Amino acid sequence: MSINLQAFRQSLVFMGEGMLGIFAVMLVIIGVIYALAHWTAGHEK
Amino acid sequence: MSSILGNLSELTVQMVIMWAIGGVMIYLAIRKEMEPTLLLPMGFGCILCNLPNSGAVEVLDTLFNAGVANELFPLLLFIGIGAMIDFGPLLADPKLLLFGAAAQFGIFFTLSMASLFGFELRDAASIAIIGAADGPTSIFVANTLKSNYTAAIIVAAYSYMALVPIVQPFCIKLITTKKERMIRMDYTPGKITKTTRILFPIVVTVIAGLVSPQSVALVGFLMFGNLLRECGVLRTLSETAQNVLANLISLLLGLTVAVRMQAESFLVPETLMILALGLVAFMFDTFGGVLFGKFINLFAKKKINPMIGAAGISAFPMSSRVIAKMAKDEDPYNFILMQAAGANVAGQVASVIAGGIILAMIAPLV
Repeated sequence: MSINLQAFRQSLVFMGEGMLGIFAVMLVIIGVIYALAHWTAGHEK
Repeated sequence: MSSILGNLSELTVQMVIMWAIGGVMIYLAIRKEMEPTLLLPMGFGCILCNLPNSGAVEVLDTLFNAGVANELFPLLLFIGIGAMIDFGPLLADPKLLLFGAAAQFGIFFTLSMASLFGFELRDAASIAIIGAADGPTSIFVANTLKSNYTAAIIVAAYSYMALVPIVQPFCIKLITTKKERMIRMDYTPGKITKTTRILFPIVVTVIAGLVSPQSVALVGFLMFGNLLRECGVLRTLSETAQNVLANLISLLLGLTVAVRMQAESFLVPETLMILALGLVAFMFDTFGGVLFGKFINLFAKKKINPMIGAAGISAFPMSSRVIAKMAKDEDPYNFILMQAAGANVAGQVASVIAGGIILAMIAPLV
């Protein structure tokens, strides 16, 4: 098992993209939940 | 007589070591009650497959190809898990989803660490997903990426899930002060309508499918199970998924995965490395969640207890219970179980989505 600095540097891109991606998806889901809660609250009244 | 002795002569030291590993797994499952539904069948299967010329290997290999290699078992298990999850605490406070996202940091950090230590990208990504703290997701991702270390990854994933009560308090205390751990939080849940509960699994499936089509099966099966639970007209199916289906698949899964625990492929230095990286993944999940909580506190008027960030992993309900207990240990009148449970449920959604993101990023490259 050897140290591979080049692969490490390349993987940092995945770290950045991955964290940004997951926060983006979560923000979309949060928006959808608030929208659903707002819409269904009026609807179920 | 000669055939019996001949078989005995094929017994190797490595096989005996694997029996010991299987024995430890059975011991942990029975005496310590650590993930017994999986560790016990795996432990027994480990012994079964490491007997000289074991006739069980062929049968279990057939089961492996029929249920694990094509991701069928983890997906079916997800229907059961989805039927068990109550998304109520999360729907009551959707902001907690951000903690679920932050606590996936360990996955991406470990991906870099595994790459640094020379693992191929497919293996590095599969090892990283141990940080999802979610057995079926680990199996699904490792199989989809055709990792060479599926068995070690599964063993690490389930072992560390069982070690959450030890790993998380240690990590949290490293990066929080007593004052931070004593922060009290008001619990004022919003009202959740039945329509929201029903539409939530459908909408999340659509979003996940649009973002990461490779993982839509993973999210979709989880959310289908949840829809069975929430629709209110399929109680029997929901109960079957929660009990019969989940138990049956767990039973087969543990035994089947053990076929990849044969001495020649399991007793390699990489296995130890994978166990170490799995621990790194769990630790950095915890650091990610807690540090995100501390970051929010820099701006928030109403301070939050940063420990709930650590509950943003998929190990439900163990993680939220650990966090609630830690808060209570610091201040007997501090009750943060509901907030921690919300973050914990968020972690279940986030870990599956993180698995999908990993697949979306890595699968086209390997």
